Amino acid sequence: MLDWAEKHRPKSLREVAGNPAAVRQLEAWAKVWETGRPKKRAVVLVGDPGIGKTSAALALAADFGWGLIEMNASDKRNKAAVHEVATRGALYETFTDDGEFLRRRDGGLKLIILDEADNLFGREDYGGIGAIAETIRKTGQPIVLVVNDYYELTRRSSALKRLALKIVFRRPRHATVARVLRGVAAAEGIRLDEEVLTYLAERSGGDLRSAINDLQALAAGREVVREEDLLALGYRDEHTEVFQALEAILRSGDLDAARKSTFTLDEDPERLILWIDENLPREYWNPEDLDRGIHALARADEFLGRVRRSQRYALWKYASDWMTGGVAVAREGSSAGSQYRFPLWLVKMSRSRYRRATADSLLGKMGDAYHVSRRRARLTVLPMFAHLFQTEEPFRFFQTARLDLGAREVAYVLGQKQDSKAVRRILEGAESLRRGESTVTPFSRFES
Amino acid sequence: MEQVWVEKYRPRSLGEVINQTDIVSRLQAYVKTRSLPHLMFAGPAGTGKTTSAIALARELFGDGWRTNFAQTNASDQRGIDVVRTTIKNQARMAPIGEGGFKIIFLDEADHLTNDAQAALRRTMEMYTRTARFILSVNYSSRIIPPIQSRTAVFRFRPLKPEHVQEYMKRVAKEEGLKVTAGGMEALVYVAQGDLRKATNALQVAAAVSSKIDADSLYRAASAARPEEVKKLVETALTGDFLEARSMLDDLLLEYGLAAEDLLREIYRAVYDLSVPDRMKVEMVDRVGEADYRLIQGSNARIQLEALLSRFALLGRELG
Repeated sequence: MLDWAEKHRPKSLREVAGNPAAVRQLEAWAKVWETGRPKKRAVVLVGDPGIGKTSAALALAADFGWGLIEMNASDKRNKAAVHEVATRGALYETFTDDGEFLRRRDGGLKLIILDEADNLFGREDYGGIGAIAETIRKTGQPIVLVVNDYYELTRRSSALKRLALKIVFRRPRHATVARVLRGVAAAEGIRLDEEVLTYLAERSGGDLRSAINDLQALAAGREVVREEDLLALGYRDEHTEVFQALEAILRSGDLDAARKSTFTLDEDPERLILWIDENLPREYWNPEDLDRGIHALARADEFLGRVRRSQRYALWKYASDWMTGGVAVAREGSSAGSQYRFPLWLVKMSRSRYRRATADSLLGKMGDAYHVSRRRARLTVLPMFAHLFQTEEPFRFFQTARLDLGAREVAYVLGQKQDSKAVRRILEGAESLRRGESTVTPFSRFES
Repeated sequence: MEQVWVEKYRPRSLGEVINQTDIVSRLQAYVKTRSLPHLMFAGPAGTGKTTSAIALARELFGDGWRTNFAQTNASDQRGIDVVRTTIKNQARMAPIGEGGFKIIFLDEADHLTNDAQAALRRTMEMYTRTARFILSVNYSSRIIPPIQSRTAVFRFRPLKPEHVQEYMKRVAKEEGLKVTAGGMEALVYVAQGDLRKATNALQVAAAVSSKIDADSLYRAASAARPEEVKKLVETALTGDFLEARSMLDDLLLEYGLAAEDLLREIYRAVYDLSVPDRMKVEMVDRVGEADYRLIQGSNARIQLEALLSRFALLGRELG
């Protein structure tokens, strides 16, 4: 069965749901391509998943009658392919391989879409993002990068900031999502209760793709979808449920209510504790309440630790009780009534994953070379190493060669971007040192 | 300045190892007879355990020592898997050359879990023909008795000021540095018996000037100390918990400190604070509590938050 989200993509920019400003920007950029070359040859469409970025890019190509080259996995072959098409395209845009002259509309522009560009080539050490920047500099074809996380992209290459026009997509409102769902349902010949529509739209949080997926799952084998079907399918809004539990834990002040709030909750205590932990300090404004509350969490965490080590899941109930009832009774003053938030810790963890992996490989190399554990390398070698690396040129070159550091590691120690001039210079310096071009330090000196 | 001095001036032969004369002469006897039991090197950081192990390997195997010397750090991989895979593979590979055995150096072996140590004991017995183990530990008591009884234990003594000075003078001479008397005293103070620390501080100071005095050394030593930890504690004391928590996240994730190392830094930072002594005592008590609970708990960050919220409470007394 065809994926409805795919099948019902907008065919034209006019059909793109919401984001009128972004669509106008995109269209204006494309118009320049019709007559020449815009100053920024690429655009970056930035926004949360499922809100129509890729759809807008596809619709753009359709509206302007451009060819399409789409890449979306971190497949290495793509790198060469992108480069090839983008740079050759300029020369061949008006001729076929037989040399036949073509009007621009037939043979002309090809839109290159790099989907998930923040992940593209991301697992590679370096070069991938740099290659994209290089491609944009040389391209004769319009390029669209699609990303969730603009920061993740530009962190690795500040050049992209200058080279590409940033266009931000926002989550469409519930009403917009509902309108899209209604259209899809009509096209598929499904009748929906208004309650179902509202529910799906709200549940989606603006994620059109997931809303359409949900609709497709719900409608399978049905012509009419009623409210009770939602229950039969066991649909629940996880966040709403967590928020309700938080309400009971942080605001009711009632031991029983707090404990019971999690009985039907589909979150294990290891994750629930992060939700409570995120929101507790925003809610317990009185320092004594806060301290008692967090100590209840710390106590819960001890039980979680015991479960982990002993694999005795029967102990989970004590952890749960501490993080729910224990936290609830810890408050004597009033609660602040702030808005609940998703655990920031999880966001930060995923943000810093790349950086942590870099540090890990760097410390591993240091540890091997200087006979210390990674952990001790972090404490005793890295601080002085970074200091000398930043101030002493010979040290920089020698150590980069000696430890065989890559761009990401050099960038880490230097506190600079991977594609910065400083990083490139050091890699080159280390390389010539390795080849023995420098008279100062022959390679043999690395062997102690 | 190209190299890391700790490595550049690491003694190459057993004879050059500072201070541990009894140990050295016993190790030299093993070299002479070319027989070696399993060994355990116990002692504080920076007293020559790794250096002695490498020097021993050099003297036993000559220039090709690296091929018969395998090093694993137990604090990076402390579970049973490291014993079952990495270490076992190292042990099972036949030695190269005429040595007859290879040396497996297990650094920070006291970080291995008890299960891992039990597995290690079997591995040690199984591959005695081809492999000798050297376990490097801070505390021999953290090694299970069956392994202790299978190793010859060597206790490395903390270095005395004159030994630190002796070694640092050697380095300074090689590097053409002028270290003032005050600078030398500062080196001894910074070292606290750990040559690695002293050498690192000297190298950082030498990058600024070849004339080294107390002032330049202390500045160098503090360059190697995350200033952020002190700020974290101070922020917690002001009662701004959310801000302190955000700093904590940075230290754990951006800076990448392990929770127990962060606690050690906090512990040190407390004594540098300008708060009443009575409060310092109480703060350190809470640090100790957090340190203990870290072992018990599951998510270190929550235990550290509990510490910060307690600091926030204590901070109110400061007015």
